[in-house]
Amino acid sequence: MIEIDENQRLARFIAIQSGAEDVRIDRNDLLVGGAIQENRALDVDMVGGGEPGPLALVLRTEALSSVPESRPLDQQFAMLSAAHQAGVTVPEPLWYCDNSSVIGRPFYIMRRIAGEALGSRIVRNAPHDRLMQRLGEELAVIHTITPPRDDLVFLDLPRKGPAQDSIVKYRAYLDAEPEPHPALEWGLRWLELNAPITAEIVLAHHDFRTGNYMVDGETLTGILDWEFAGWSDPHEDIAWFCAKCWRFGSDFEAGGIADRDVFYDAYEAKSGRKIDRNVIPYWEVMAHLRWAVVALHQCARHRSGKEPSLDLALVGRRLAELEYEILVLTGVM
Amino acid sequence: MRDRPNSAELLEIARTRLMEELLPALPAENKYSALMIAAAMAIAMRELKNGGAAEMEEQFMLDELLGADVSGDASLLDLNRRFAAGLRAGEFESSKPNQDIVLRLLRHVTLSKLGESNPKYLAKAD
Repeated sequence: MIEIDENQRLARFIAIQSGAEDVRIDRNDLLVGGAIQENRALDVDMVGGGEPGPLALVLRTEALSSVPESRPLDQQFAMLSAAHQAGVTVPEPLWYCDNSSVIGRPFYIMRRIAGEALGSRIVRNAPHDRLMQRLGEELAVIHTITPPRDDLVFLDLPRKGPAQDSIVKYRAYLDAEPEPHPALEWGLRWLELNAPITAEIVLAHHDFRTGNYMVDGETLTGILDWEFAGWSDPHEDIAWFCAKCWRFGSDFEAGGIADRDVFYDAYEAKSGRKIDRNVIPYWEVMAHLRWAVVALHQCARHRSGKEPSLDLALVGRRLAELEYEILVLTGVM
Repeated sequence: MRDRPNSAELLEIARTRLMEELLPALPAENKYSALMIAAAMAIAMRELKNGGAAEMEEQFMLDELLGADVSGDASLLDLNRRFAAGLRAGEFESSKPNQDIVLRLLRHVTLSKLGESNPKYLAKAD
């Protein structure tokens, strides 16, 4: 029996999907940086077909334990495809494999984009007004995707409202925690009492922030990490980008890279939608609540003993910072 | 009686050795790990130095809020469960004295936790 190794199976998969006569894989390396997803860099050489020559790709699989709300790969692929078709700057999604026969688990392949995403490095030489404008425009394009969509039927529409639904969900997470979290309960009660009325539902990226886009020099090369996207209030994404927990220590309030006005103006100009400044603080409270729930979940992975990790353990101790911001935003501090 | 140095003092000097001797000698790819280890040691150190004073204060305020008949011999964990459930149900919102204790409690607990887990964050926020 002839042993066929993983790279040969992968080369065959790419050849079949792309219509190339032959495919050679020159590089297949694990990329660091994805806490939830496993990304591999592939350098392939295509012979024949529609796009002969070298091709730089990323192969994405699901890592072993995922964050709640993280969507399965097929849905991520569908959302990335919808974003690409809408004209969002994203790594172009190419092929999805729904079974384990090629590399032992499902995966999808997208084009590899140049640049870096490291938040702490990007904020270092802020302000980056041009980059901020581009990001404001990108978010406006993301928010042109609205329900109903046949290709996104797996996304549930809000029941009582995006804010109310999140409150129910986060309370359920807290109920599953071994310890109570009064400051988070305070925040959720405040969110319940102050919930705004959502006028419009759009595709929210749900993790649109510094650290999740790629920059090559000053050029935006792609919006990453679509696994949390869903229907919501457009203000949720805007506030998530500006929330203090995503400024990487920078004083610039829009993602640590610019003043809010630069972001808001670019978004409004491109979308034709007026940002309601009064509801942004509300959604920033929600942002810190959401991060707190994710932090608890990550810490629980460590505490369960299944995935002992100093990084995950220390995330648990970031809770106090998030609670502090919730108390500041709700007028307690 | 245990001998000195005590646990906080041991952690402190161990962390100093890590930062001053090992960190500069480590290759770039291991420096992040060393900093994470130092951060964990610093949190544990601050916690040990502070002892139980902040949690005693927390317990005292919870007793005041929930009433001695509820608290009795209840543990801090049980009291916080009761506090969290009350906040969710909006129980403390009708009386002004209760509201005041709630705000003081939230401030006290969060500030003392933050003072141990990330005092620099607090210094920057002020």
